[in-house]
Amino acid sequence: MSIFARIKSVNKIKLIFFVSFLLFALLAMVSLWTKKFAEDDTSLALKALELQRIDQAARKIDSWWREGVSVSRYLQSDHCQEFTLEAERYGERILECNPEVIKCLLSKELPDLLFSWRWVHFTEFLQVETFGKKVTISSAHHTRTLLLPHTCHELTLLAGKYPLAASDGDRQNYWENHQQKIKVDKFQVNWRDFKLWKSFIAADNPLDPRQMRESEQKYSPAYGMTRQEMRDFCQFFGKELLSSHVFDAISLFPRKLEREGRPHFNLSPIPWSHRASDGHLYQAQQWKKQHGADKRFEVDWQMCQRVFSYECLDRYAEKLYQPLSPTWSGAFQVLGGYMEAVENKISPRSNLVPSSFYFKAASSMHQLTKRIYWDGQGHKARNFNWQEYPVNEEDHFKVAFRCMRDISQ
Amino acid sequence: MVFLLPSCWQQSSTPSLQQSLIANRFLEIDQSTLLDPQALEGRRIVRPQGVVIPLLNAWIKEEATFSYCLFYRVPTDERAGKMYLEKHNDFTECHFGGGEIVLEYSPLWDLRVTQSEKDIRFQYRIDKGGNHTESFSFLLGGTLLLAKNWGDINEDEFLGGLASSYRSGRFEYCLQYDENCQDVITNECQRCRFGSYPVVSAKNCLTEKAQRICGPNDCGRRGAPACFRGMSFKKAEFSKNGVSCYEGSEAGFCHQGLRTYCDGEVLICL
Repeated sequence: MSIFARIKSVNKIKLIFFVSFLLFALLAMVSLWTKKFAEDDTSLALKALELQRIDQAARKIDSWWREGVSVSRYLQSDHCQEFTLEAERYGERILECNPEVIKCLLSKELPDLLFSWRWVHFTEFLQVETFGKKVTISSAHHTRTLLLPHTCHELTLLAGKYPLAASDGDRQNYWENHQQKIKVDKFQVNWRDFKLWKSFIAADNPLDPRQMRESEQKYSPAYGMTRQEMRDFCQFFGKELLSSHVFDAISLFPRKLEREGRPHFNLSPIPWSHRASDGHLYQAQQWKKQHGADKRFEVDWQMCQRVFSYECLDRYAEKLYQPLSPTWSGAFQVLGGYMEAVENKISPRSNLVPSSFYFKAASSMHQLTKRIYWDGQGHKARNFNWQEYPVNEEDHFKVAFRCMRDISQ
Repeated sequence: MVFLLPSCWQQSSTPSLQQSLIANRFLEIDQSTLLDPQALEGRRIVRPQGVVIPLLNAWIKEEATFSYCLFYRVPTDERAGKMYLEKHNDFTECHFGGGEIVLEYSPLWDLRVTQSEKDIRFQYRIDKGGNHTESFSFLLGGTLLLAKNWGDINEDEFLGGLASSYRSGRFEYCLQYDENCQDVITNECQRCRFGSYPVVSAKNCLTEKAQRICGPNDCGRRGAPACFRGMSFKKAEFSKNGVSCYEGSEAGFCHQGLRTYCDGEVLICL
């Protein structure tokens, strides 16, 4: 007789109930566990997907930040067309280090992620002392931060010997930057960055009406500031107004010889050749000698790319803001275009590079080492000590500027 | 270490250059920056003649402690171009001679660099004026510039205010030596809010670094430090008995009409 047969019938019923309950509880637990694991799996997969999206976004931001030209190609085949127009007007370099462009592309490409952009000063990243954008990318479960240094538009001056007091024609006096890292803005400071600075220093002190109007050309050189404002702008970003001897270093054609143990610099007045007679400025001077100052010297776009002189205003006014030919060091806008303020550490009264569209191509003002005096206060003709009068009397002479910094190694 | 992807090499690559690169396992790169404007624009690199210029700064994710710098000595009429690859132990800018050369290659002429989203291609001739064009490319992996979480920047962490100046006596060094030329303050200049600038110190140190002051640079003015003229001016041939801070020293320069003097601390202009 089995054990089960020996159990009383009342107890049998109890046992059946008990076993059934156990089975039910077991089934319920298994069901709950299965459901929980399934949910965990789904959640993990979602989180992994989010991470992938964030990683994808970060890679895109990084690449778009640095590569203006690539972004340009991307824009042409896709959205955010307004930047294509701007790139045509100002050159593709405006697309580098440009948060607006990236924000636009991201809003179309990755609408499911949140991006927060802030200007910060970061001091430890790879020993770079600079401002940059701090970007936080967020999804439901993850956050990632990128720091993007605002350094796309700086050149690093190669270590070497450079002429000092070049405006005095001294070919032997020199300085050198071994063990020093000097970074210089490739372009003159533009309205966008000037407005940005204004918004940092004084939200209640916006641009004046003229500046507001002009700043619509946001990537064109900013002008109309006093020298002190220019210094303040540069200092805010941890920089200083470009020194005259550094302007020489980034622009003079590099060719030097040694004489009695000291370098003997070529002080060619043009950045593209060591021969002064190479190029259209010399042709224009010869033209003036032969035909007089009144007969027009015809310029073409190649000439205006090198030096945007007075003659270029008529023919290529719409191209004024295109970055013109770079010097050997990668600096733009050194001859022609806007006059440029510099800080002269030797001859403080030689503090303005006068080469600009205020002078014809034949003018002696279009020389790299030429400096005149600007009082740094106003922009009327009387505020300048002209060595040669501009073609036209202007109500407001435009003076642009750029910054540099000397970083410890 | 990342491995070389054969697909990124052109069949026509110069074997020796290719082999050199393979031997050095300089391969797929995760991040790169083209450094030369001519290279950026895809033009033939012809300037400045005879000068070694940085072409490319690159690093590889798996090798987080160093970066690579590719340099090019631009050819002159007489001398062929030459490429150098240096391995740098930090991520600072590419300065020629700042790292260990892992390969050199010559002769090269008419180098042109083109960049796409996937690779950076180097095209050149190995015979001057000839038609023998060759090329190789680095495949770009592409990675993050930074992938680190950062807190907000605390303004208190900065050194040097706008008002700090040597002339007023309110200044601080961000790099300073003692009498034995040992660092008193290790380099903190990256924390200077308004930059920093080198000065010619009265200390008889011919080390490879100059002392630096934090704050706006007003060098060359009366009473301010003389503008630093460079390390070679600190060295023996330009100094008296190894000291470069003395009246009339050429180690610094001043506004016209002023002269350099040593005030016992640094070379100043008076």
